[in-house]
Amino acid sequence: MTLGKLLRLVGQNLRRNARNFAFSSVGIVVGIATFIFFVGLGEGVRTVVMDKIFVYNQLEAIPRSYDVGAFRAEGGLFGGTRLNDATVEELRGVPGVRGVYPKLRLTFPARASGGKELMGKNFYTELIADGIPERVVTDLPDPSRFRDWEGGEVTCDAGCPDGSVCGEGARCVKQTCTPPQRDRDGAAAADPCPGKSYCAADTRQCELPIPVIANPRLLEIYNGSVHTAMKGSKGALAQVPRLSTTALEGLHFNVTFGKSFIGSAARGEPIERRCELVGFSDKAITLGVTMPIGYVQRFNGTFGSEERGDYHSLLIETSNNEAVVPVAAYVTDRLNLALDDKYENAQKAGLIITIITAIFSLISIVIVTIAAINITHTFLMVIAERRREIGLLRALGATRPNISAMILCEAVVVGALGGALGCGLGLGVAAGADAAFARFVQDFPFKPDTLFAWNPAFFAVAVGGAVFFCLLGALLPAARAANMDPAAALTGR
Amino acid sequence: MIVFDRVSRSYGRGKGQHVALKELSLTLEPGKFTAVVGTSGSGKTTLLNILGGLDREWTGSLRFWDQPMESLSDAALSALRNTQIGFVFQHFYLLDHLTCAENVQLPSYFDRRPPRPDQAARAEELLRKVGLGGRAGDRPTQLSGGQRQRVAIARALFNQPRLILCDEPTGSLDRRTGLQIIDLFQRLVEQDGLTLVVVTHEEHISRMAHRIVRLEDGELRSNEVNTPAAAEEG
Ligand SMILES: Nc1ncnc2c1ncn2[C@@H]1O[C@H](COP(=O)(O)OP(=O)(O)OP(=O)(O)O)[C@@H](O)[C@H]1O
Ligand SMILES: [Mg+2]
Repeated sequence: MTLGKLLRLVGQNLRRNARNFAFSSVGIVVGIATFIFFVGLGEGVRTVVMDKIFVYNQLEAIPRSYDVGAFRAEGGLFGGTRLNDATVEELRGVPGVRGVYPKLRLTFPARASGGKELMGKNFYTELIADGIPERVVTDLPDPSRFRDWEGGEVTCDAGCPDGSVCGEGARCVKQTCTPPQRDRDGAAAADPCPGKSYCAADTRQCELPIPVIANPRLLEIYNGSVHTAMKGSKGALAQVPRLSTTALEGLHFNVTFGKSFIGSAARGEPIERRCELVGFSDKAITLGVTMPIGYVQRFNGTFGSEERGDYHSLLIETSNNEAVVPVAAYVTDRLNLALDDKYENAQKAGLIITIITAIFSLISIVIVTIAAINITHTFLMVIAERRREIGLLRALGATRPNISAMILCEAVVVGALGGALGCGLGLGVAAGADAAFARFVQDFPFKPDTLFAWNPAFFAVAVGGAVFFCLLGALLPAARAANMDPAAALTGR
Repeated sequence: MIVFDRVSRSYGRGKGQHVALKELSLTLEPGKFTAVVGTSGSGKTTLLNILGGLDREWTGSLRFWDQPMESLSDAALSALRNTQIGFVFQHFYLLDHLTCAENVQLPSYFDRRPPRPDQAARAEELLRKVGLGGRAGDRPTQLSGGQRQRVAIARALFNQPRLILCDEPTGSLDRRTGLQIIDLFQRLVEQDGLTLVVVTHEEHISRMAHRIVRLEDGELRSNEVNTPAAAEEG
């Protein structure tokens, strides 16, 4: 029997017994829908948790010491590897590591003020800032804006930046300026420096703002909790807007280095500098801002306590989520460094998600298994009903394999249709869940647009599983039909 | 040429064993109409099932033209049924969810030879031949009993078999319609040289055969050559 003929025969049979098969495949549809829903949910939650909340493939190695703000015990004392360029190089050679980014924190107090353009009022805050090499920040709209303007001499070739002019030896030289006077309210007169540059009080030169980046998670936390909480408050904060990365890019604020609300630096005269938020990046510190590492090195040299020149932490990016565990093991066991607790939390969260997804997948497998038993039942019934017909087909020349192929093929079609319907139903329920989630659940940090993530493999597994279980269910009926005695079937014995 | 040589068939085992056919030896000529008669339970259907390759649990030997049927595999027997034998049953056994033309083409589903290009046309031609031109698209449920049996006959003829086996083909029909069916058979035997074996209870039908085989308790009671009576006589 050719495949075409087999399929025609199967199509005719299915159409005739459509109602029976529709009833018996309800279980398959429900089981597959359950599977698709929970696997999609598990994957969706995992995506949010691992990629957005924990940024799982980024590890942060810190010295095995107890690093509490200013009271930092030296890592070397505890036998751990030092966080210097040699360690960075070693880690770069570890399989699964995509990049290693040293971070250096400000080791002296600083405070920031600004936000009037955005909030209608200036805010003052302690500034937490760190520095990383500029070249590692690649996820900005314009990565070239994140650069250390003070890191070396700027040549005139590409034109001098705002506030500089071409001077001796084709080098850009900063223009001198007179800082604008402040009136009694603290409002400054117009700045004499051109473009983005501003006149710094200490250097009396036109300086370029320090480019800083922030972490998108900061924005998430602000929008998801601060903004939501403040909506109900009185006063200026009640009007704080929901912020977007685009609204914040280009934001200027002033920073006083060497002095803050809680104290002053051990050394050096405090200076005021302007910063410009040039974008959002996963590489940035979560609570605070990140600037090119050169600035931090220089400021620490001026204001900080004595330093060995080590980095404060190393941000390690792995090539994928699977590489995280071995790389983490390397960092903790071989280098004797610690990982920030984000890693452990991420691991716990990942495990919980995996377990929950596995439980629901199991439940769906149970449903589908029961459905397969149901399929067996239906097929046995259908075969009993079609006993004479099968006898007739045998009389007309059908072989035993022809008959079992016919029954199994019917099962495949029922399974494939049930699986496809189940996928559709699962997607539909997921869409409903997303709509309800968006509508009825308040904003919270990292609230995703969708709770689900879909992988084509899920659907392949779902439909394949449905077909498999239907086939399994039809095995016995098919064997029975094939072994039916045609003479007895035709005489109705 | 069909030659039964001491063919036996028994059902059950031990005490409950029942011998339905006892050492039957019989020769059927090709191109002839043979009627098989006998009381109920005498083994007529058993004989037909063995000859039709539907039953394999028998002993003895049976030559189907040049093939020894006792040594054919299930697949070979299936092919034999498909290409060399046409079946007509008392209760027609048409598939109600298919049209008449589709029913007629059913044997082609299991035909391992290259498909003929004119299948649908052949089905219609056969339906015309059995007097049902124009009903090709109808469902069997729209037809009368006699018409249904004609569709079944067209189906039996589809793969141009040598042998047509009928188990009480007129059993569900009134006398007049039954005679028309037998008349149709007679014409087919004459035109196409088919070999026809018909099991019947009805004497007016057996009288139309070239040979009347009478069974009794699974044994051959008589085997007579008959001069066929004309159909109009009944
Ligand atoms: N599958 C079976 N199992 C057990 N006994 C059977 C079976 N088929 C036939 N028999 C027995 O074999 C004997 C012959 O049966 P068979 O069907 O050949 O009779 P028949 O001549 O066709 O009768 P009828 O005219 O009633 O159709 C009967 O006694 C019957 O009970
Ligand atoms: Mg009988």
